[in-house]
Amino acid sequence: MNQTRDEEKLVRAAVAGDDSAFEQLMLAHQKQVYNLCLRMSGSAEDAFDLSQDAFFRAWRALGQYQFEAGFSTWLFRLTSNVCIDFLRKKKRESHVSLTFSDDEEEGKEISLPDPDPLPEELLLSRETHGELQAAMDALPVDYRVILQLRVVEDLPYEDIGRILGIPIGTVKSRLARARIQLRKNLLSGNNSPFCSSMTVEGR
Amino acid sequence: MMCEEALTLISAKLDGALTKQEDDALQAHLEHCPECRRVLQELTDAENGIHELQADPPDTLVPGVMKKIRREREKRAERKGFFWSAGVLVSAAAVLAILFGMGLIKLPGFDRDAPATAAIGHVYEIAGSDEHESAARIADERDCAVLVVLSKGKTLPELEGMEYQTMDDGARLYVTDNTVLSGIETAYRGDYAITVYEPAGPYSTDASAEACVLLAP
Repeated sequence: MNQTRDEEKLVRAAVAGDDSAFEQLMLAHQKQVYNLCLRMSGSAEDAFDLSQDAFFRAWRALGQYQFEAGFSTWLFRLTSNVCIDFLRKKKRESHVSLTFSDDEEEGKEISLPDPDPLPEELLLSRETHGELQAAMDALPVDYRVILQLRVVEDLPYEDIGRILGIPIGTVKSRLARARIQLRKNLLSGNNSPFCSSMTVEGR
Repeated sequence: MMCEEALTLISAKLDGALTKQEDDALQAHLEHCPECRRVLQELTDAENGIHELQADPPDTLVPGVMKKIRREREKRAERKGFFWSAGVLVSAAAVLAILFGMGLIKLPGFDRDAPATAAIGHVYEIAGSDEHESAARIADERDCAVLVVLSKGKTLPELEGMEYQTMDDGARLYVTDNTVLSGIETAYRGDYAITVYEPAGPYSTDASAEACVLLAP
């Protein structure tokens, strides 16, 4: 019934050294963790390694989990940090965009989408899986993460703010920008995932 | 309403985060703005599509982590064994010294039932084992040494005023440096049970490098 309470029980058992409890937690969260890694790294192979690394680190850091946020929020935050560390190390060779958006400052206006250059029937109805994938991969990494957390994981703004360490206002504006950029990528046809520069800020 | 404002509202609408008032205002705008209507439709389609990009993790993911965890447990067990044998050696040496001092010792024979306990407590003792699993974890996680002090609820003047994190078992975790760590180790090894946990991999022993002190209740 109460999933949160059951999960809390499992977490407490895992902290106390019950590895099968931790295994159950992993089974319950592996799809979320794997897909976040997949979205961030852009590669199935890297996503596999990153997910394993994130879970192993979570196991070692369990004693530090204070139950102040939900377990999945804590796990997402840890996973996202593991991925960002990885992207920093790997920035030169990666085949997905590792840029962070640079338009997060409060008060900055959202730019209007380009006037639609294509007839309506050519738009999303005809988007293939691959084109959407490419449009997603071409987004800056912070846009990819926030769309994953919001659209796929259906997390409330508050949780997203906790995971990414940003205020709710920034969650909202970043989501709006991410969506506008995603649409631009879809429309432009210039979905080249080979993105240029990478500037990873310390955060 | 300008299109710019509408775009922010469209994003919030997709999140189901609009108030009734905002929703009405957006609807009014959409009715006479085909461009924004199109944006809403396209984004709705795109977000439905994003769900289809999700993949199933390989079956080997969780078993792989479990394997790593078992290996880590074995490593820790070895480490713990090392601390125990070190402790036993030190205690034995202290017993020998006392017996020798009292003129009771008869080498090479050494009776296990000799009145030895008097010496223990004044030597480098081993802090409790299982409850400090977390210390080994912290050492590995932070790549630094962790000094566990069974201070029985007392705080140490060296740590006064420093920030600490309270662990689930009530232990206090102080993040400090190697100078403080070795100072405490030297000053209190006669008074409290003390254990140092080291990370499995290499770590810095520089005086100013990070080190942790865990005050166990």
